[in-house]
Amino acid sequence: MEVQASLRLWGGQERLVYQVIHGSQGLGWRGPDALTIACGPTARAALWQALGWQEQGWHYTAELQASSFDTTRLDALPLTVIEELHCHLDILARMGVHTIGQFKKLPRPGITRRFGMSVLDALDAAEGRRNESHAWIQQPAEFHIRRELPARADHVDMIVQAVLPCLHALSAWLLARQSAVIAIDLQLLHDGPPHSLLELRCAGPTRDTQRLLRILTERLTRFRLPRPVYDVALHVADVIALPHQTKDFLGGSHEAEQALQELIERLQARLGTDNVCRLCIEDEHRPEKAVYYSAMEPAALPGPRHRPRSETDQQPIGQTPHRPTWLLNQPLPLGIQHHRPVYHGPLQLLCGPERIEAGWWDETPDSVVQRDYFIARSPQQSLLWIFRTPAHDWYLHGFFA
Amino acid sequence: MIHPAVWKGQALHQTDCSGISSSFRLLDRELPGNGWPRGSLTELLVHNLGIGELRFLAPTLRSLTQSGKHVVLLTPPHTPYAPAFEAMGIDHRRILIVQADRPIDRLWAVEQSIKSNQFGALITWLDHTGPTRPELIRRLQLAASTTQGLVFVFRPFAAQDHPSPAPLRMLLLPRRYPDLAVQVIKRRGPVMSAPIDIAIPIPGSGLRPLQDHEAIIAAPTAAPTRQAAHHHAVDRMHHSPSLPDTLSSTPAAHGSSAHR
Repeated sequence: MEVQASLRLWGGQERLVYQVIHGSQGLGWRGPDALTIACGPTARAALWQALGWQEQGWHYTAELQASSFDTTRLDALPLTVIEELHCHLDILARMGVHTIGQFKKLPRPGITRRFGMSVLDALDAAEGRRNESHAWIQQPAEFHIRRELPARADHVDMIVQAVLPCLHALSAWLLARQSAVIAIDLQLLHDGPPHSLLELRCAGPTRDTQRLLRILTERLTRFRLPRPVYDVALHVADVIALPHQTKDFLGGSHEAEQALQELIERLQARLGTDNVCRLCIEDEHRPEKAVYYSAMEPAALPGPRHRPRSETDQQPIGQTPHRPTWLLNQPLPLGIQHHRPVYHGPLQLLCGPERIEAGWWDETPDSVVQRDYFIARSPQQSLLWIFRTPAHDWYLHGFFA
Repeated sequence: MIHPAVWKGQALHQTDCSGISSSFRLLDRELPGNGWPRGSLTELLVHNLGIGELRFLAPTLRSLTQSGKHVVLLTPPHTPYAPAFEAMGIDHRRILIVQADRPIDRLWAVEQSIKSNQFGALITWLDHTGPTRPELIRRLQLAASTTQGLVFVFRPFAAQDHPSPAPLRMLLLPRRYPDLAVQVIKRRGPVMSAPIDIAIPIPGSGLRPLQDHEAIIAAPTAAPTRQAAHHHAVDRMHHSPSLPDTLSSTPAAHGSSAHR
């Protein structure tokens, strides 16, 4: 990492190193020998320093200040840190050369002749006498990670613990690509097939680890493990570009939308996707087909600044005659007394008839509708929406709540 | 000077935050905070469906949805018919419907919604299947006390005999004219003497009882008559040669041919 230019942004070297350690713990790099951190004026010097420390069993010292670099510190390092010299270490040891400092005292033309140009190039690069160009780290196009569990897991908590580092890695990968996910496939591998596959779905694109973790926990607690789990695999097929959100000057609105999305996905994770839905209107005369539920999706959320419909938009709805607020899923057959429909007592017809005759274009005969609708008042003063079929059967179809 | 936390029994409790207007002036005057109280449970006890209970809330819901807030309907008793909501001015795209069968899930859903604090109003229907335990209502009330939104609970009439921790309870009494009467049976204030009449007509309707002969004339037949067709939705019967076959297989068509 080149950090010199942005050291102040991170709040100094100490804090940056702390953040690196903290972040790597999230990725699963734990334990005393998992990580060695070193700083140096050049990337190669830092790498050599780190390798040197690793050999000695140290892991982190922040005392090497990039600005006050002196070559004596590198001179003390053993030659094993220089990758280019690995095949010549035996000869050098017999010559009595063990450290970089000793090596540097050898005549340069001699070094070039005996060990090749690359060694001197590396040494110059480490000491800043030569510019070095590094290859950029390319993020893989697809995210797939598989982790073996330390022990076979038959409890949800153990799986969550194992998946958490994967989520951190995913989050970092997404951040680097400036994108976000809507769905993640989580595969739980048992000792043999069939393996379990869970799809974690969010209400909106996200790369927030905590949010993904909440969905994961909610899903897993509802999931019954068929057999113990040995491996977990996380796979992401589709990513959505999600640039960094800038904060709204007046604040608030974006976060409110985000919170609503999170609420929806939390509800969906526990109650099932189809049980959290919104209403959709279809241009259709048959009332039972004019409105349907559709599972809540992020795109369906109107933005906070979305204007309410204008009058002209509402016109087709305004034209339609009265419609009840509650529609029964199945029309309820009503009894008849003295040629009048009965629902908790004889009904008084208030308004109608409104004929709805539709559906003949559909293939199935059941969808043909031929009805006369009335608004009726029950003795309890409820306003009902009832209809009569040509066979003079009466049905209750809705309530004017 | 009385401490603001103390209120005299005769006066309405003055809450810190004003309520959201119910847009019925007489009713607002009777409610503590001059409107629906935020952050507390409001119990609406209704006898039957269809007495105008949603039309009563419609002005509130309309102003909420138009200001960009969402309305959560938790376990509605039937399918909410979106065009009717639109006709009342409620933006149906801002209605979120949550179905939860088990009471524990329902409570959880309410708590989650309240915790996220991202809705204008949450309406739920309790006691569909049996009486709700008072602990459940108490937990709802506790959860509701942290939100800025309105929380309405519809319960059957029978629940009025049971004590409830909801700070505001009202009976919605069906009326022939005007449409509804509201009796507040519990509030932070004196007992309300008489119910308030509320006029909430179905939008754009002037309903009058139909005479018997009008209804009978209007019976649908396979060949509709001119006079029955004044609200005709679709009348394309004669243009479809395949239709009689399709129709004859339905029970409705059997009935009409017998009638003829």
